[in-house]
Amino acid sequence: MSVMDISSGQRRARLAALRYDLYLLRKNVLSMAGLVVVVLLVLAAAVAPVLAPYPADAGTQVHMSQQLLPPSWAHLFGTDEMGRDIFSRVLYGARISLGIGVFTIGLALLIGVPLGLVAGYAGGVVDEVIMRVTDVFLSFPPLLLATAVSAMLGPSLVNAMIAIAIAWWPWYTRLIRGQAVSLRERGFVEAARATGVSHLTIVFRHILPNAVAPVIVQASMDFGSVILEAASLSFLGLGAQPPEPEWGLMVSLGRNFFLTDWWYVTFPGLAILITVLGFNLLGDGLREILDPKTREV
Amino acid sequence: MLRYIVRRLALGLVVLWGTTMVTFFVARVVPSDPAARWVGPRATVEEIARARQELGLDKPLYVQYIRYMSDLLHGNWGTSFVTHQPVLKDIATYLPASLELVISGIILAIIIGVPLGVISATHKGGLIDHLSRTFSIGAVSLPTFWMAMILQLIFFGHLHLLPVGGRLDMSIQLAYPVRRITGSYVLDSLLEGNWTVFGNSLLHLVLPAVTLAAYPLGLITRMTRSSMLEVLNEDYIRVARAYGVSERRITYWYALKNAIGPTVTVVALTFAYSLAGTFLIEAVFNWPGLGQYAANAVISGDYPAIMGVTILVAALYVVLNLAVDIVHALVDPRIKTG
Amino acid sequence: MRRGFLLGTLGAVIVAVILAVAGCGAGQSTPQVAVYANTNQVVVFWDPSDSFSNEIIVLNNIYETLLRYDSVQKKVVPLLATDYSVSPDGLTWTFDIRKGVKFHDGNELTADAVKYSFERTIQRGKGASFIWSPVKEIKVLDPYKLEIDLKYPAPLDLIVASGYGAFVFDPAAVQKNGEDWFSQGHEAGTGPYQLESFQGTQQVVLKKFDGYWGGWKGPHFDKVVFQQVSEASTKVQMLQSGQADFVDALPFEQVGALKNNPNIKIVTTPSYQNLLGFFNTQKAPLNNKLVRQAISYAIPYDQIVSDVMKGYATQSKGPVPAGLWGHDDNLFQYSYNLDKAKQLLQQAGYGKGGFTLVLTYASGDEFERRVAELMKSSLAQLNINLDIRGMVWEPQWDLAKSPNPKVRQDIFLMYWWPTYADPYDFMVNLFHSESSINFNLGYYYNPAYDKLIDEAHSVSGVDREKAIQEYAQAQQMLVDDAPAIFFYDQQYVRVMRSNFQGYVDNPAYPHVVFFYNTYRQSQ
Repeated sequence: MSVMDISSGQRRARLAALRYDLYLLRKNVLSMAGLVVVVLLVLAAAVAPVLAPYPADAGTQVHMSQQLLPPSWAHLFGTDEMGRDIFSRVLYGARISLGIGVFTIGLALLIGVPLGLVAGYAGGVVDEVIMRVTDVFLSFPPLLLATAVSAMLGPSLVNAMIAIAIAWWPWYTRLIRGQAVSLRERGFVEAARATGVSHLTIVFRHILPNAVAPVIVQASMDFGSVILEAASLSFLGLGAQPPEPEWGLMVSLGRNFFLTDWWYVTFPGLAILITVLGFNLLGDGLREILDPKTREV
Repeated sequence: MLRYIVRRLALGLVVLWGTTMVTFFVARVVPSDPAARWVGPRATVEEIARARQELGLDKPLYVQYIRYMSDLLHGNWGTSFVTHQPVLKDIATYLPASLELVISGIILAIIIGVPLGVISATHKGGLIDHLSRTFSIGAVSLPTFWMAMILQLIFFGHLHLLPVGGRLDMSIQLAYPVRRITGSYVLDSLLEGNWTVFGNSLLHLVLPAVTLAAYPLGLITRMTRSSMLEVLNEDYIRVARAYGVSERRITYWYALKNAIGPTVTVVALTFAYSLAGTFLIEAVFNWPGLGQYAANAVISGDYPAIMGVTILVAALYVVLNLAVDIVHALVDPRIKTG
Repeated sequence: MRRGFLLGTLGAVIVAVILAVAGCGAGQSTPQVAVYANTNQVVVFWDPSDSFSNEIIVLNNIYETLLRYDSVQKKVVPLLATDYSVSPDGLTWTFDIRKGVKFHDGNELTADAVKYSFERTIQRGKGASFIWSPVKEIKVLDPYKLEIDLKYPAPLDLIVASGYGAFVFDPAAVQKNGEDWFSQGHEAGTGPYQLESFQGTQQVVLKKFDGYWGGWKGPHFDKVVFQQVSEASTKVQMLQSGQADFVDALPFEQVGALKNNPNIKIVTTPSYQNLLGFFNTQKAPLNNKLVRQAISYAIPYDQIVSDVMKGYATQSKGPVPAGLWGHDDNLFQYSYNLDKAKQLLQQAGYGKGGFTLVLTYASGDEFERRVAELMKSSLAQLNINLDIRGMVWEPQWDLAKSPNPKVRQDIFLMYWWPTYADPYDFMVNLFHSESSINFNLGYYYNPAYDKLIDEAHSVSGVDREKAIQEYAQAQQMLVDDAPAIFFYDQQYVRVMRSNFQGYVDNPAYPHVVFFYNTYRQSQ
């Protein structure tokens, strides 16, 4: 049997499993709620220009005569200290937050996955060194590490995302290393090795496709945490810069007004909470479904 | 067993050594000119040169590192650029406030989280389970800095029940001085029988502690639930049940005793992270703790202070991790001790 | 059991809260204590020779200077010197030292101590020691007479009145305890208050010095507490509950909310503080004077004053703020005029805009941030993209001083206020050419300007009229070359308890409260 045959057979089995998983997901109320939130969020981000009553307020437009108006039909979430419509800005903020999730996790995967593969496949000293390096990174409080890196790089949203990725990759390295170690001794890998296939090919053509599934699941569950972390950096002034409608930054700027103008911090903060909650609920459901120990039969 | 412990110790030391490398890199290689930072504004070229010599920055990098390590081991953790005090002294000043906050927050999280997790597990799939899962996921999804402000808005802004920040009312602090024993106002005033300070410091502690508790609370509830679920399916529980042991005793004694391990791990690691990682909470509540010190150090490029705090926290993390692993190994014979 | 457990916890919490609330009721009579809540770290540098930052709010209550600048009368008044005279050439100054003044350790003040203090500050060469650069020699004529000879004429009366770097302290304390003794948190001043205790950089408690030469007749505070409180809402709470007597600043929104509280009074006073935006004059496109002028025309000054500063400011005329001598009320002012700006851009060859400028400001400073956002909005109409970056001071300044001019910012927002009450402080620090970059953050280079202000400075000790004329001429050059945007001269808005009496704001000592003059009115 060739490697190809295994793959196509596995693929069919996987499709069936996926259908079953989706069935379980539908049955799980909380995860469904999470899924709905995430879908709505993506929609909101996509149609923000249509939905937002004042799209220009998410850009450079200011209206100094309309400072800090309370919520009304004209301004559902009120206005900020520059007279901008907070509802429009929160909508546009969804785009930024989703972008943060994709970019940051992508970067963390890009660093973490190859290192984990190499560690797991090579074993021995290489494994030991890589894993001790991940231990070192994991022994820093993640937010403090991200703060330090982003302070080093200078304040900007891109730098903040890089900083978070630098604090995040060791988790993926650990996860994929475990997979790689168990795959290393499997028949099809040994067969490939025996036929003289190069290590690089083995790692990326044979081990990676079979090890990547749990990492993908984990990564999709991490969206919420990453968005939260980025909002925290922006709150400190190390992430998004004014006038970007990033939620964490909006909460940070609203801090001067929160006792007198409650709406300013409330709505962007709620947006963060709901988004992160949505991703976490969805992730929690996925974990339940995929974990054989808690899987309901 | 001994071999396992020795190996874990050695690995812990390697990791600690790695953290010193990283922090040294951050502190000495990244900043444009630590010497110029040290002498302050309007310094002349000669002063900067003198400072460079004084700080040993004119030496090759490896010599600087050796000197740095030797200082570190001799208890000289450098002098903060911002406060111009020895870093260790600063840490001693700010640590007790953080300890007070983190410990009370985590105690709160345990008191609520463990029972909630147990109930959730024993009622799996029921309404209580759903509610408690939403609650625990909600708790880890909260932006703490936002939650802090919302609590202030409600309990200070509208209800006028609790103070907005700080550790003690200024007037009370001046009128009723507290002798520093542990550095925690709540404990020290209790030990001294100083009820005014005790009451006031407790009032100040409520909102920050509740905010801090949110994240560990979510983790603890979730961990307790899932490990309880696992344990409740074990044979010995079924046996106990068959022998007619009461359900309550099974749940809270046999099952919880065996399920608590992962929760302890979570608590220990959260504790280490929280000491310097909760600076957002400390900032909003004006809580003069290590987190705020660390965040200020990071933001203002106070490298000696960054190094000091990071090494302290990393060391604590490694030690706690080690302790948890060793305790697990001693308690649970299933762990491979090779 | 489960219910019992939760109830038990709840019960414990309730008992604790009741205990706490009950505890708050108890009270006892206490000495008169004043509390000053300040945004920044209270004291970082304890050494009176080195301190050049916020610690002056504390140190000016512990230490004293020979003279003090009275901003109301616009002249210097006696303090540790009872009188002084200056030779006609402005080079020789003689001071009569007050008799019967004691340091906090009991030693007597003499001319020798003054000489030692100044020389130590000069020799350490830190902080504000540069103010002494005109000094050639300090001589003790007799135990209570001091002569200071200058290299060139300079306003030494203003210099010895400086709130930074001109303190007099006890030489015996340094000689006995060593050079680092001050830095470790000790003091040896002559002022009305002495150090009782401090906690880190966040809190300082002073108590009255019984042997103070001015005596303690009349109402005074027995103790003064300086507390760092960064959070505006915490400051408001402290004011409302009477836990703070005085705060240095509050966001204007919070000030408005306190206006109707009878227990709180709000005092606005002119300051010597202004906001400037330095153009990077060494980098395209801002190396072109026309572009700088164009952007100066694209600033909505009126909106900034009315909507950002809520009227607590006036648009600047040049770098020297209104109220300080040397300010020129007839100086040209840029106004908000986008057509004019477009025209100038066209002339400069940038008619289509299409470039990006990087602006850095002090993160956390709400006023600078809002000014920057208004600028961004306005420049967008000229098709110029403003990239706003909030940075903490050290990295912001490091970037400005970067050895590679290409990576430096295009516009640098910064406040300035003088070390001592002299327009030269603005003119020289901000625009005089520098061999290594310090505060000339627009990298302005104009030898004619340098020559003019140096000359004005050297005659200002003897012929102030001539100096004023030359300063006006130099400011004209600046306005024409536009190396910076001159946004506004701000007012200080001080918020204090209504019963906090005796406070007079003195912009020559920004944010300083001379607590000896203040007291609490009994109700």
